[in-house]
This record gives sequence, structure tokens and C-alpha cells, in this order.
Amino acid sequence: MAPVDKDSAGLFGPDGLAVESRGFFADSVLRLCANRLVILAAVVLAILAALALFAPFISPYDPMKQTLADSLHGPGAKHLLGTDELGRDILSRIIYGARISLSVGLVSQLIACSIGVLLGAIAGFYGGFADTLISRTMEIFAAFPELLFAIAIMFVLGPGVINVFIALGLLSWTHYARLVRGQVMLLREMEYAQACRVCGGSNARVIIRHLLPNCFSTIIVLVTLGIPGAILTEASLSYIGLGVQPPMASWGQMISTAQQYVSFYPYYSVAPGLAIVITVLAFNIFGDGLRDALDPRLRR
Amino acid sequence: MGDSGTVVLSVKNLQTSFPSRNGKARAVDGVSFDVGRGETLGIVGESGCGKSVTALSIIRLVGEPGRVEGGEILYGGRDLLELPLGEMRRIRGNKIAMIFQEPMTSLNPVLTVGAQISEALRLHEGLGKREAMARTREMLAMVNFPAPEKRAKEYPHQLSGGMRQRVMIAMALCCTPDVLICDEPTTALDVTIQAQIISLIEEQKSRTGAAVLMITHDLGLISEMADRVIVMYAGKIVEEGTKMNVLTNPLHPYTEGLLNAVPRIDRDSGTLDVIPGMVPNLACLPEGCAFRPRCSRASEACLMSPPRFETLGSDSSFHGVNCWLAESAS
Amino acid sequence: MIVYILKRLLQTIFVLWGASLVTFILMNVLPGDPVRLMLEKRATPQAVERIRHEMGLDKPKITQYLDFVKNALKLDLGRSYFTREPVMTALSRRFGVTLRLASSAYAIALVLGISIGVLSALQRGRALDSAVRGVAVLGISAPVFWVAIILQMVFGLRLGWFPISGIRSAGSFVLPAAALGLRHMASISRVTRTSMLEVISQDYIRTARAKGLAENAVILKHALKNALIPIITLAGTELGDLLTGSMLTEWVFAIPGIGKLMVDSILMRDLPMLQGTVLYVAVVFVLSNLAVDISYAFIDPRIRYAKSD
Repeated sequence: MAPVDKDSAGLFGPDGLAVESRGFFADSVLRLCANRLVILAAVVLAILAALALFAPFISPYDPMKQTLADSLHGPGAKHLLGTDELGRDILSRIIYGARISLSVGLVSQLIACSIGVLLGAIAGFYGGFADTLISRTMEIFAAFPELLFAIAIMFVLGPGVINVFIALGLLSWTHYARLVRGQVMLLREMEYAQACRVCGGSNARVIIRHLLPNCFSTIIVLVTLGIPGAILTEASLSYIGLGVQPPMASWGQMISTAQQYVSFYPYYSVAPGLAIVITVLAFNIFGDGLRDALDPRLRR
Repeated sequence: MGDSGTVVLSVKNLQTSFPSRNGKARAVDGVSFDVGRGETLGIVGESGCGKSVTALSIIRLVGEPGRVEGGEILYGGRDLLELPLGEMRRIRGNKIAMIFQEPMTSLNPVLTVGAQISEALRLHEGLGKREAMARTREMLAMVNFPAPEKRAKEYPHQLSGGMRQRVMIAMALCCTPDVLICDEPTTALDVTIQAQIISLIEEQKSRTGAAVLMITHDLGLISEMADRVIVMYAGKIVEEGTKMNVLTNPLHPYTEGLLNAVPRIDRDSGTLDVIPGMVPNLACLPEGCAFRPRCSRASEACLMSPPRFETLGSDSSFHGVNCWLAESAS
Repeated sequence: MIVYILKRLLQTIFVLWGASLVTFILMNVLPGDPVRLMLEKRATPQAVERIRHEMGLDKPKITQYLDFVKNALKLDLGRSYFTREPVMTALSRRFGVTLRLASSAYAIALVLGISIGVLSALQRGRALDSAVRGVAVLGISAPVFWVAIILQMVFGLRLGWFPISGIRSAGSFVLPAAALGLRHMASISRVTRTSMLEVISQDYIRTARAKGLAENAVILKHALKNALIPIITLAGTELGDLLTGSMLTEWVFAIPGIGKLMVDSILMRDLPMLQGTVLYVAVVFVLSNLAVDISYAFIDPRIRYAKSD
């Protein structure tokens, strides 16, 4: 039949709407920016990161400096959020606390991610005995409620920031392993991976070159959504005295101390709690937005 | 060709649209037709031409964010678009029933097929649980279900695609509707099963005398079942007429293209003709005739303004077309 | 269905065994001498030796593990190092309290979470939906123990409506159950909303409407039953979080349940008590997951009639 008028024929997406072809990354960023709440969350996270990085320059006082004469002062011009039982500036301690929370979130998820991706890829790619062993181990790990497991590990390892990294890292590797295992099993049989093997690519090459890039965006989303969980668990651990130890400032541990003064000095408990809520909320909103933008299939 | 008896359902100037980023997409734009008792009206067109939206507009189940914006749908002397929702529900599944395309996904996976059929009976005929189940078994037997007693207690995933479509038919027909809308009833099925389903629908039509609206892209199905045919393109009717007129003497280049794309045994040309290009974006239709960019015989006139609907032929052998070429020819 | 249940039972037995192994490894094999942990630095070497012997810690690890499993099967989890009370007795004495707290919180979470989630899905994009989603994400972002403290502060200290500690009256459970339930209500409502949104766009919902069913019947009979499947999965894992979350809540409100027992034994470094409690909570968690999986079979016929593959 007749030649086609290409201009008016155009291309249409599944929803019948015209779609311009954009790169994957550009497309994701555009979708991410479409949501104002997500932008706000990103800004909050950037501010938190700046606070943590430049804490010594930003915080008005030394978080460790005790001025017993000034103890348990309410919020005022001198101390914006008041002082604690040892006369330390609460705002400064919260700013320093951001260091603990953010690093615990990030480092623990990186540990968990490394273990999980490695074991998941092995299980998914080789199958057989390796898969059985790793899958059973995941099942056993899943038998422990997360906080219980963290408490048990921390009890044995003893308190401290490094141990919190390790405990939380050991805790959540199964999420990553389960995801990567499933994706690798799915992708293993797909044509491009087969083609690579036909051309003589080694197994490791197939995994690294073809399979992992496919899981990449999903892993980023899992990390972003894993961080708030880790921050909450760290706060809980520090709250019951198994996490970060005084005099280091951690939000959970501040709440634990503040609780003793709850009847006559409520500000003290409220401030660090709000810090946790804001941080975790920002991560959750940003992670949800990221998930929707990067991988609509992940939408639960 | 069945004689079109009294008009049961009359659609007048139906307008249904969906908001989209590029403006309003008019999925159905000024469609009008009548269906008579015992008559089968075929609606053909490519995916996205608005035929399914027409069907869903009739029972007022156009999915969000779509909206019926204008026109009338006359049934039993009343405009369905004006009815309160409660009264509309009394018509749905009772007087006007619908069979959907996907038997795999159109049945609820967590309810037994018996429960899903008897539900309509209990609702519309006011039957008790037992009576409804008894009628359900009769209906299943009528659609040639082996062992209806046992199968009524089964779940959709235990049945094959053809069996599920029989369940859909039984469900649609259990309250003896006046109008049966079939939206691509055989598309998802194997060829042998297709034939069985078609003869089942035919059989039930002649038993109950329902008017049938057969929506499909399969011209073979149309030539087998329909009395009259409507061809839709980009939300509009481009050609309409008796089956004979439209299939043997197509006036619109689009209908011609559709017919040429059907494989036929009596032609030995090695390749099939295809209509080049794609269905246009409904939110920004080309100027003039919507089919112009894909039309081999387009001329200056087609670019200027949309064509008007021209009627030819007598009442008994009606034929109408929406094309500048036909106008200049007559 | 029998095959499915048997398979799950077998898997549960395996996981329980694994749980005992992990608990044992955590407490006895990892670096760090448990006796030193318990006694801290003051203890003399003689005292450490004596306690090691008393607790059987001088035997080979394998023997220790086998003893641990053998005793656990006889429901003997050892004795508290400090009170000398058998761990099992302490646990069963406190189980009722935790059960009461957890089940009221669970009831709040399920009933409110599911109904709010359904409403939110039906009102998609409107003000109610946005409000529900906002509160839900806030709810999962706040630490349980902090919410508990805030509730204590507002409703206990400021308004004086409910007691802030102990279990002297039924009212004592209101604040802890609310603190504990809020978070789970938030996550259940989130999952309900998404699951419901997915289900109501399915073809079979359109079929139900085409049948002429009223919207209530479409939602309650056709949609909710399908939407429940992912909700049940979540409710299963939530149960575990609830048990551990109750640990912190019990601590804040001084409720003598299993959670408080656990935190106390951590603070007092009572190893046998902690080990018993960890194993106990893991077992309850595994069994409740088993119950959830079996309840699937009653809701989803595709599982009930699935062949054993």
C-alpha cells in the first residue's frame, strides 16, 4: 500500500500516549522529579548528610562538653534545644548523632548487600547443592525476628559502633540474596546470557557483565529502603544499652537517658525522637519514590 | 440474514473520552447504531479503534479516568446514561450482559464457578441458595459442561480456557438477557475451541432471541455470525451496512484494507496485504480524515476537513460510508 | 492440601533445628567467653572455672550442643543464673502477659489497618487517601519505644487517662497496645491499599460489576478475598516484629512480659535466661509463620488444589 506518513503515525506507549524516547537514567530522574514530596525528602537527606559530614563546624557546642551548672535547661536562646542532665547541648548531640545513624545505615547495608549479592548470585547461578545450602540458611535466618537476632549478636559481640555495623550487616543480607538469586535464576536462561556463554564467556563473566547490571536498580532501591530499617534497629539497640555507648551521642541512647526525666523535662525525649522520625521518614519517602521511578515492577 | 425485528438497544451519538497528557483522547466519537431483537450486529476494527470502549460505555463500566461525555443509550424507552446507579445495576447482568475477551482473568480465582454463576441468579431473580445452584447446574449443562454437578464446585484455575469461556457464557445468559455484548469472545482461544464457542453463542441466541453485539477484529467471525456490520476507526464509524454489502462491496479504503489482510484459500498470492502505519493517537488526530495518513488514495480533499457520513442503498440493504472518495464517486 | 501442609511441617522442623543451632552458636561458640560476659572483670579465675563447670561449658562444644537440644526437647532450658528459677517456668509465667499485649496490638493493627487500607484504596487520590498514606509512612518511621514514651507523656502524665506502668488494671494495656499496634497498623494499611488497588483493576472485578453487583458486594466479596493474600504474608512477618517490638514496649511500660524478661536478662547478663528466651521467641515466630502459611490454603484455592511440585 501507500508510503506511510511517518510524522503523524508516531510511536505510542502501552497507554496509547505518545512517548518520546529518552535514556533510562534521564527517564528515571524525570519521573523522580515529578514528585515534589520525593524532592523534599532528597533535600532533607542532603541536609542531614551535610550535618553529619561537617558536624564539628556546624554544631554550636562540643557535644561532650559538660557544664553541670547548666544541666536540664529548657530550650532557649543559648541552647536552642536545651541541655541534658550533664549540661551538654542537646542540639549539638543530635547533630553528632546524625553521624552515627547515617553511617550505621549506610555501612550495615553495604555489608549486607555485599554478602547478599555474592551468595545470591552463587545460589541462583549454580543451583544444586550451593543453592540448597544458601536457601536453607536464608530460611533459618528468616526464623529470627530481626531485632531479636540483632540483640543476640550484640550481646555476644559487646556494644560499640563497629559491632552494630556487623550485627546489622549480618541481619539483612537475606533480602539481597533472595532478590539476586531470583533475578539471576530468571535471567540465566534468557537469550543474551546464553549467547554470551555460547561465545565462550566464563560463568563469572556472564554474571558480572550481564546479570548484575540487570539487578542494579533494584539493589539501589533495596539499599535505600534498608537504611531506615537499620537506623531504627540501631536506635532500639542503643535504647536498651546494647548499641552505641556513652559518652558518644546516639539518638536512641539519648532517648533512653531522657526517659528518666520524662515527667518534668519532656523536651529532652522529644527532640532526638523527632530526629529519628525525620531521618527515617525522608529515607522511606525517597526510597519509595526511587522504587517507583527506577522499577515500576517492584511496586508492592 | 435475520430480519431485524423491533429495536432493543439504540445508541445515539455516543461520546466517550479519556484525559491524557496531550489533551482529551476521544475513544468513542459520535457513534450511533441500533440493534434489533434476534439480530447480531458486528463491530470490527483494529485494537484501539474504540470498539471495546463502546461496549463498556453501554453498560457504564468505562474504567477510570474515562468518561461518557455525551449521547444517549436507549433501552426499554429509557436512557441508560441517565439512570440512577442502582437501576443501572438491575439492568447489568440481567437485561444486558457481557462476555469478556480474557476467560483466564475474567473469573474470580478465589470463588467456585458455581458461586460466580449463581450470584447473578440470586441477585436478579431472587432465587434462594439451593434454587440458584440448581439453575446454575442447568446452565452449565446447557453450555455443554461435562459433569456439571461436580464442576460447579471447581475453581477457575482448574478449568481450561474454553471451559472458562463457557462459564462466562453461562454467567451472561443465566438471567436471559435482551442484549448480549460479546467483546472478542474467542480471541484468546484455540481455533477448534473458537468454533465451539461460536456455535454455542449462536445456539443460545436463537433460543432466547437476544440481540447480540459482536465486537471483534476477526472478519471471519463477522462473516459467520453477523447480520449487519459496523467498521470503526479512531473512535468513529467509517462504514456501516448489511454483512453482504460491507464484506463484498467495501466502500471505505480502510474496510478494503482489513479485508485484504485476511488470508484466503481462493487467492494464491504469496503475501498478505497489510495496512501500513498504526492507529493514530486519539488525543491528536491528523487533520481532515483520520485515516488519511495511512490511506493509499488520499487526496487534497481528505486533508481539508473530516468527511461526512453518506448513506447509500435502501432500508433492506443499507450501506453507509464516511469517506470523501465515496462522496465524490456518488 | 495435605501434601502442602506436610511439606510445610517438615520445613518447619528443619527451621526449628536451625534456630536451635544458630541460638547455640551465637551464645556459645562465637568469640567472647559467655562466663566472662556474665561475671565481667571482677571475677577470679577460680570462680570462672567453677561456673564453667557448673554450666557444662568445659565439655566439648558438640556435647554441649547435643545436651542443649536434648534438654530443649524435654522443655528444659536451664536455670537462671541469678534467681535459679528454671527458664521455662519464668517464660510460661510471663507468656500470658505478652500474649495479652501482643494480641490486643495485633487486633488493633489488623482491624484498623485493613479497613483504613481498603478505604484509602477506594478513595484513591482524594484527601482521605493522602492523609492515610501520610500517617502510614509516619507510623512506620517512628521507633516503637519513642512512640511509647510520647503516649506515656501525653495520655499518662499530661492527661492522666491511663496508667503509665505495670499491669494493675485492664486500662494498663491501652497505651502499650496502642504504641505497639500503631506501627503495624501503618504497614498493614499500606499493603492493603496497594493490594486492593491491584485487585480492583483486575478483569474479574469488571466481570463482577457487569453482573450487576452492588459496589459493597464487589469490594467485600470479590476484591477483599483476593487482596487478603499479600496481607496475610505481611501479617505473618509482622507477628515476629510484634513479638520483638513488644520487648521494647514492655520495657517502657514496665510490663512483666517476655520482652521485659529478655531486656532484664541482657542487662543482668543472665546467659541461660537470654538463650532460652531467644530460642523461645524464635520458636513462637516459626510456628506462627506456619499457621499463616496453612491459612493461605484456606483462602487461595490455587494453593489448596496445587499438586505437590
